[in-house]
Amino acid sequence: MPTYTAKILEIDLSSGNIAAAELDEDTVRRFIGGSGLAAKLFLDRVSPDVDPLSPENVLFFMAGPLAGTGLPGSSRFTMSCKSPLTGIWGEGTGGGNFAPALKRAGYDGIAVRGASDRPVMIAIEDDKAEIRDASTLWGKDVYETIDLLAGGAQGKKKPKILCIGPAGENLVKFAAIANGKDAFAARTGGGTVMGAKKLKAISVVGTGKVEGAFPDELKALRKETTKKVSENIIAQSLGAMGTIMALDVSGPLGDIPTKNYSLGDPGEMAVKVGGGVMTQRYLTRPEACEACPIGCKRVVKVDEGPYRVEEGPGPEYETATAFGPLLMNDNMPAVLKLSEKVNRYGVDSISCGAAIAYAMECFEKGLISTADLDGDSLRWGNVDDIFAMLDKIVFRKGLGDVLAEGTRAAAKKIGKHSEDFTCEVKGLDSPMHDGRALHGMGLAYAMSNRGACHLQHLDLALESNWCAYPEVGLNGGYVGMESEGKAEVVFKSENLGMLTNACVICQFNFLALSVTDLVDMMRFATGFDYDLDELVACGERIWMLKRGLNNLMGVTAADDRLPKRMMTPFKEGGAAGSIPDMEKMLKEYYAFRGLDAQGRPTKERLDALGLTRLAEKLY
Amino acid sequence: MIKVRLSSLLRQATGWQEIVEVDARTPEASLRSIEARFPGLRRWMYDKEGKMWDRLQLFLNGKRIGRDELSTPMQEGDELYVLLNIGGG
Repeated sequence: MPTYTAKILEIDLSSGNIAAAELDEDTVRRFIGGSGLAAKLFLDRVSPDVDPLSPENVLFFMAGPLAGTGLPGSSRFTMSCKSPLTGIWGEGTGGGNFAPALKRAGYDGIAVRGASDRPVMIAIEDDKAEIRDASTLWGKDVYETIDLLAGGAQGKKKPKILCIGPAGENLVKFAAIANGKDAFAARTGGGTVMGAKKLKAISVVGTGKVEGAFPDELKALRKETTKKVSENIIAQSLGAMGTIMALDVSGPLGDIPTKNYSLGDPGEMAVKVGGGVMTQRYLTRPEACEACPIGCKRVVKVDEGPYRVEEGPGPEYETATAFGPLLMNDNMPAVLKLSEKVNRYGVDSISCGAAIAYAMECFEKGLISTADLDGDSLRWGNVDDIFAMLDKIVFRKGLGDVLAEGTRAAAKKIGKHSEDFTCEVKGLDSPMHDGRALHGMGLAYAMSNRGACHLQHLDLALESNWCAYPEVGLNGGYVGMESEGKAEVVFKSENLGMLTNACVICQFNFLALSVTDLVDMMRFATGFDYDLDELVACGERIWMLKRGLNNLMGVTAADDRLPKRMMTPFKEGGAAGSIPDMEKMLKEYYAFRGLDAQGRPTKERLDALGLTRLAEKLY
Repeated sequence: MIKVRLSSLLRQATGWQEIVEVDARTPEASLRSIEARFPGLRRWMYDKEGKMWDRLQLFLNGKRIGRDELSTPMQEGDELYVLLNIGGG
């Protein structure tokens, strides 16, 4: 197991204890790394009943076995814990450079439990780790924190930083964790758990070397796969314009959430805040994570007008949509400024945009009034209103304090059937894709183990025909607005999604590769003699493990559903009249996955996957 | 003349020109015409063997058309929207 350091750095912020725990070969071979290995460690060490904001919740920061090898897309990290937003399994992944540095320091991951009574940070420099006072950092935003911790150093000694901003400090339930200024593990509230533990940041300096089991073969594969990615048309287009390009093209397909998912056609509004406008007027350069031949990140600058933005990270598609068409906002400089504020605050742009959209609809329908808003308004497309509500959420002022709990909790508090204006699954707000335009995505949202998600699987890319994986029966040629055959697509693409988040490889890079390429990467890196069947079975095992954890946290078959809003057909646009046949797809999916009528993995399937400990807890 | 409207990524190859007017009478001829005028478009429209990318989608007067409709007769003033369906994350 050469690229594994076989060590998890365990830190208890209550006692101050720091120790390195050993990982055994069987565990890493079967659960790999990233969020897969984190789920296994969570099962073994944490009660599923744990209060997410209590010291007993454990926050895992994990690299994958490919980090530090230079393989394309291998530099992402994962965050996992019980989510304070959803109350079930939570995880997120972010790009950047933290994971390779952690491996070079000698660790496959970090497990943080306990809670400090004062702000602290964890500083790791190779085999030395310590807890330091971070009182002077508390209150700083993400950009300020990064500059203070990493501003002066250069070269190998320059620390790679994870941190939270004010949203995490204020326990906003959808606070993000930043890696640098431009990469975020934003979903499910990992930043909130850091805030509850009074953990402001983690810095790591790693000067060691990550060696694969078969260095020559790994080097040749690195060259070959990097060339494949570089020559792939999807990768080239992401490099040319970034993910925000989708705003220019997805409107006619009915896949741009508009006015809180109530309109099927954003018209020119989407294009006004899309990739073309950003590239022409505000882009200064593209940027890439470590070991990435694509470079989908955008660096932007707004020189004039009321929404000036200093040169820095520009919005991804999700952020531009969540603060653009979702709120009926077509002001591009304002979107860029909102994106900068979201980054600085360290807040999940999807759930934050969704919370504001929900509140705007409540305001429009008279469920909340200007009195509830301290005299302010909350009007569709009104930029001042959006800025004001963003600040209120992050600093928990007025109605913002209610929205900071997430849309599910807010709807319970506001009542008046306002849950009809939410668009969440299992408490996690839907990303900026729509199950009415992509029926498989609808099923994938319903079944995702962290709640509505577009990255726990590869359905978006498959249903959009950006890629195919014929080795596992994903042959391509899919039609978005059809439900037939999608249960199998989602089942298989989830297993691959679990692999990308366990091997921890960027899904955009993986679109250009085959599953066989991933098998080879894992063989040459780790030395395990995986074949395709064994690796795919690891994906299935990890999905079932997370599902079982969720069952232990209270998830049942009744939670596998789409929100009413997404089951209401559009009257206009490219997906007009279309709704996914959820009853049919769920029935077929349950059979593929091996779930019983209560939504639990069957004991037989758990035994076949070697999940006996989970089976003992469930049955 | 036929109006060919290009999605944003394709516009990078036309100097950000969104609408290109061509003298053609079918979607296929329109595509060949814009490709001849702006050679930088080729890699976004066709693979190395000259096969049109699956994710290149065409809308004739707002209605999506399939690969078997590339010979559909077009009239003066018709608009062909050429959309490279990539992005999102």
